[in-house]
Amino acid sequence: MKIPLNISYKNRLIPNLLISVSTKRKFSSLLVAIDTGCEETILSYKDALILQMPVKDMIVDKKVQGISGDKVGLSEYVKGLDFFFKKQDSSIFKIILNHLYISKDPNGANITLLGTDFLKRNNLKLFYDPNGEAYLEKAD
Amino acid sequence: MNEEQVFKNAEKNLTFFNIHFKEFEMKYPNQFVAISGANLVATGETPDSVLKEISEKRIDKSNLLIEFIPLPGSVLVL
Repeated sequence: MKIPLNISYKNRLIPNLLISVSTKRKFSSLLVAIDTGCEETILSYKDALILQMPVKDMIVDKKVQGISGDKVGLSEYVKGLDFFFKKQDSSIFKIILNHLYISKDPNGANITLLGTDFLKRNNLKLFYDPNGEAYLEKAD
Repeated sequence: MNEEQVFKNAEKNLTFFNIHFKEFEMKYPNQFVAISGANLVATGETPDSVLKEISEKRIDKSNLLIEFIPLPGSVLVL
């Protein structure tokens, strides 16, 4: 099973894809990036607001520091989110994320990152050819 | 609305965003733009201000794409 990734999106060369996410309160689509430099999946502040999650009221559980030096507070989220992906044959594939972090930083580009935890837990392989196609692959 | 319909709407919004990206880069650098129904529906300097405008206009957040516009000529890195 393959989930195609976009690597030609304007000014964002990191592999990215459209997904749909549902909470108990909201169902929405998000443009997210695959980040192999991040060991945690982090829902951006903006995307948490779109999903009507009470990000402002959440406490900071840990902080991460980017290469720019900026520190970002993260809140742990364990209530579970349903992530929907579009496969190569256009059918929809669902993955339940029981654990992720939510960024409390309203500044910056506010991109949701699917980290290596996401790839590991769901046995997904990342194929990335900068001159060609990119996709996530999972054994059927 | 089912997942397939949400994906279809999102793909239309993303196509619109990509087609108009250069225009957005000139008009809204360092800001967020919101696309719904393949139309620009709100802009703002923060996610909060954009979502406030979206709420005031009573736009369904299920059909929404909000993206950051970098400064012209710059590239986003993680």
